[in-house]
Amino acid sequence: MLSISKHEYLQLLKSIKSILVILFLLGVTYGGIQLTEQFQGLLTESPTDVDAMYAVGISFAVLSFGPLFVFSLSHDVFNREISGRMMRFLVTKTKRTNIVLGKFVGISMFWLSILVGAFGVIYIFTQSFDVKVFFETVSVVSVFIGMAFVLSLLVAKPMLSMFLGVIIGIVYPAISVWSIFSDSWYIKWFRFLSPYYYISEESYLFLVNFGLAALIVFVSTDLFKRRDV
Amino acid sequence: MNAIQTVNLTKQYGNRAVVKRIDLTVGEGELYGFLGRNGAGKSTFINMMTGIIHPTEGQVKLLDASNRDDILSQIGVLPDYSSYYDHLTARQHLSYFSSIQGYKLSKNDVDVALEQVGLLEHANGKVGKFSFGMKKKLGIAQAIVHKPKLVFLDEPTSGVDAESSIHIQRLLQRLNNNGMTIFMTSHNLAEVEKICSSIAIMQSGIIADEGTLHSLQKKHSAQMEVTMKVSDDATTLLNAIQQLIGSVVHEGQTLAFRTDDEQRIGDVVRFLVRNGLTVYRIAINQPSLEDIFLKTHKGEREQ
Repeated sequence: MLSISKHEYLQLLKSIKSILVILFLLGVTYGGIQLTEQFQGLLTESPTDVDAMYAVGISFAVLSFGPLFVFSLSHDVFNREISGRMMRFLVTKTKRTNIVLGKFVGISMFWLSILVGAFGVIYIFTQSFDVKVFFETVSVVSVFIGMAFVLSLLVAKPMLSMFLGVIIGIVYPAISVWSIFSDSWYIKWFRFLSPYYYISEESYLFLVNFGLAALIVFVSTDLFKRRDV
Repeated sequence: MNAIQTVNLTKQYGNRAVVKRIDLTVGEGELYGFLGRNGAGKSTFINMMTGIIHPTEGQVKLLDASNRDDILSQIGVLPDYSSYYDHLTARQHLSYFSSIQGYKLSKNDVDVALEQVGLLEHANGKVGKFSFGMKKKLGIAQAIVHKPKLVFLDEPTSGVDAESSIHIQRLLQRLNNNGMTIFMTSHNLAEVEKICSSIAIMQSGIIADEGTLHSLQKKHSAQMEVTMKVSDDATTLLNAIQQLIGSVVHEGQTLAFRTDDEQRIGDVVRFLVRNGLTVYRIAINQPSLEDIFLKTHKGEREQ
């Protein structure tokens, strides 16, 4: 399992798309810091609140673009290897559960690295690390990774999963936010399917997201076990 | 212990059954050849046994274990039409796949496997630049590198040059002699005839014929090919001989014919001797695997 995780992690690190995502997030973080420092005199918040804003800023960038980034990088995590027939080797060598978990751990580690990097940059400038915001962001990303798994297993062609991934990456956050702030019965229920809802509460409800991610990975494993490769 | 046992193994795509209720037993230590035309169901059958696709019905037992996951480390597989990670080298491929299987191979283990398939000089070459034949060899290397008890090879020599093909055949024989059970599919009948201890011929999703080469030859002895060398030209006797045994190919002192009855051979010899000829040599060719294969499929066409 760990070999698959390592392979997946290194593959993501080396890809051009990943490098662009990393640069974007670090750029947003650093740009945000520079901007805030420039206008520090105009801000009425206390220095502590300003530090917290940096973390919330990067968190906001990840939450807004996270689904798009995760889907664009991982939409083909399974279908690429199934259609390319590399998966035939893997399934004869280890349990299918190990393949799913290995990929999940590898991709999660990649995103964890990016987030540690982004929050690390904030720490360098502000000497503060908002642990709760960090884990809230990680929890949301873990759900998106699980969703990318399901997409990649349900859609056989990588080109189609890329297209659908981009659509979902744009539409899903919008619908999520709408459902959280709406009282309409036809959309309100959707909030419970959204990881954003569980971080919008002032509590440790964000931990539900890890459960949600585990559930989606479980579903992915079951889907993968049924698939002919 | 049986290396492979399938019971009622079936694969259906919609209403179309590709593999139909196959019961097959392969003993430990066999080098088993699995033949069939394109679309006969060979790859589907082997893919069900190796877990690449799921059977619609039936069971597979490998090395007496019902759960393949328990014995994955004792199995090696070369699937059909497999792709590789183009960015990895041959050596990295073997190390990666073995690590997935839970083995930490030494550089020497990897090099031995690459040498066995004739790829050692390309050990550090990127697989993306390999030819089809080289990729096939790499596939064989990854199937045997961890010294499994049971190996499945789907057309191990297809797309490989003649010299390498012979090299692979010898390697498979050597591994089999060392106790490895090998189940292979092939379109190369001469290869299967040469190296396999048991053979099955698949046809339209069922096993049409199965056994050792000897038992298949015995079963299909209806197609004995007889060649006789006689003391003189038998042109004048040709019509009479043809009345005895049907079609005869005649060239100088040589007569060749096919018969399904051993007694006919005696009749021809007696006839020739009675007419003043001496029979120098009689060669009776058993049906080759090619004959058996074609006969099996002729039966299918006639049905």
